[in-house]
Amino acid sequence: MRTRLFLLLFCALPASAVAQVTWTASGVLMVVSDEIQFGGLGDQRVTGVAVGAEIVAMPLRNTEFRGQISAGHLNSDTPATDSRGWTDIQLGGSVFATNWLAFQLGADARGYSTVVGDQRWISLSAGAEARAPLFDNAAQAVFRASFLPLVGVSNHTNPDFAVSAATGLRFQRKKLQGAVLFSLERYSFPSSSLGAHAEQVAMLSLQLGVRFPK
Amino acid sequence: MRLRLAACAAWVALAAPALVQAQANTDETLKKAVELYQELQVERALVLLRQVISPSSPFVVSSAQRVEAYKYLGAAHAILGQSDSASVYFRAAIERDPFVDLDAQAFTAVERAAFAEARQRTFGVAVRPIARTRIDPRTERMTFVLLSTHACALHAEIRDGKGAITTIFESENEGVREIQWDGLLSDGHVAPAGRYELVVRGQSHLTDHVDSARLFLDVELDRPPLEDTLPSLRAADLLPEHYPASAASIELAKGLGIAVTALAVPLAVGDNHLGTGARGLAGVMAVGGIGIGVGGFVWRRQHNEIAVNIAENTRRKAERDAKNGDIQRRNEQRVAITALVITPAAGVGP
Repeated sequence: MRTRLFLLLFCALPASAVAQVTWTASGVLMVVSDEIQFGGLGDQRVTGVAVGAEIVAMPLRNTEFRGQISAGHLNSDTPATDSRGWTDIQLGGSVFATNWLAFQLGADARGYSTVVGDQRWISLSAGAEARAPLFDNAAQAVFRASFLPLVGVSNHTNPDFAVSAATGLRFQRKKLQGAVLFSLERYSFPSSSLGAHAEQVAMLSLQLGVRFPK
Repeated sequence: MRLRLAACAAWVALAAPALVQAQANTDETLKKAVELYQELQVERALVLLRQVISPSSPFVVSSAQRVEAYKYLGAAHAILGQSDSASVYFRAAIERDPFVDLDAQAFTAVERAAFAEARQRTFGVAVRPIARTRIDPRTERMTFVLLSTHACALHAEIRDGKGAITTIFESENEGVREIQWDGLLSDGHVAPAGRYELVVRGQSHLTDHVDSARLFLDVELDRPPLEDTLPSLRAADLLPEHYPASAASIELAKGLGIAVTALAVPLAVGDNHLGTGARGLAGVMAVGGIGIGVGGFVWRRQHNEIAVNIAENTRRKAERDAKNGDIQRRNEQRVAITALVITPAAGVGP
């Protein structure tokens, strides 16, 4: 009964409203570098490549909703460090205050899987993104800064400070759209008896997709 | 001062009636002479006519009265068989007014023959004064009445205030001729408002003498007022069509901004003890940013036009041209129905 009701509601959505939404579907290729400092264990670093997909919807001229999923494998670069699997799901929304400044809210669910066990990270972010036109607006320089007020790490103390920043380039030509972005997330955990604990994730991502219907 | 004014007023009060009286006396004398002439009392008429033209005449004699007196003097002498005297007086009349003529109903063939001979010996051209006239150049013409006393090559032209000449007649002529002017100048346009001069020149075929006459006239245009066209677009009315020279540097700065930000993020946001991997990725992004900046710099130098502004300026110019085209069409319609009001004038200017 519930399923039928849901289908009925979905079908009742105004078709014209759906038709006016501009969609962008992209493939994502990213290089991920995860570095960890944990007390006397020394610095640990894992690096790898992840692939994924991103869907962006623009229902209105000044709003944008984004969903991205990626997965890959991070190899150990330092001794006594386990390689791990990487899975990441991001959801976010942007509201453009002007044609060059947008405010963003986002949520991120990330999973690391190692031979020892899995660890899940969940975070919420709030930030702003500035865009500067290049090549007569065929491309845009992107500068983003976010604060992560809420970060939850399974089986571990939550970080007491987390921020992220990103910069790069977005471009579009006719239906083709893409981006090259460098981003960095920093997580600082409260000091424990084992010493200071900090973790940062750097990503260089390449996106290439198509925009439709126009 | 008051005495002088009073004296002047007294003189005007006394002299003005005397002037009118004097002309009236001349008129009466002339009228009496004509009556005597018509009653064939030619000798008595001659006495009165000579009084009229005498320099010692106490009365004021107008030009028309003098011409009339000369005419009758010539006619009287012709009747008396004094052809030389007749010719002298007739010529004096013709010289003063080339339009003077003898009415076939009032003068005999002998008189008219003497007059015709005098005309052959005297050369003059004249233009009859005009009255205020309104003409539609599309359908009507302004008529000027010209005269040459005998056969000649006659030339008539209209001159405007700047000296531009429009010839309206050039041909052989003898006697009175009506010529017509369509109100157009030599360039084919309707004569603009202003003062004009009709100049008539003639060269006698008999005596080779040259004579000329002229007539001043004012031309006014009678039509609905014309609209002014829109002025040319000023620089302030148009959008800039090219980026300033600094635009290329700004493109470069944006690319360098990406590079600098990429390098700064690991330092500013990252942890001091970490960052080896982040710095490597940031370096890749920085190189990309520099490339983008340099590319943007070169691209902007080669693509300096602001396409949107150029299109907008083109639209504004086209809009202005269209409006001016409409105004010009309306003005042409108004000009097409322009009528000329031609009035006599004095001299080359007001």
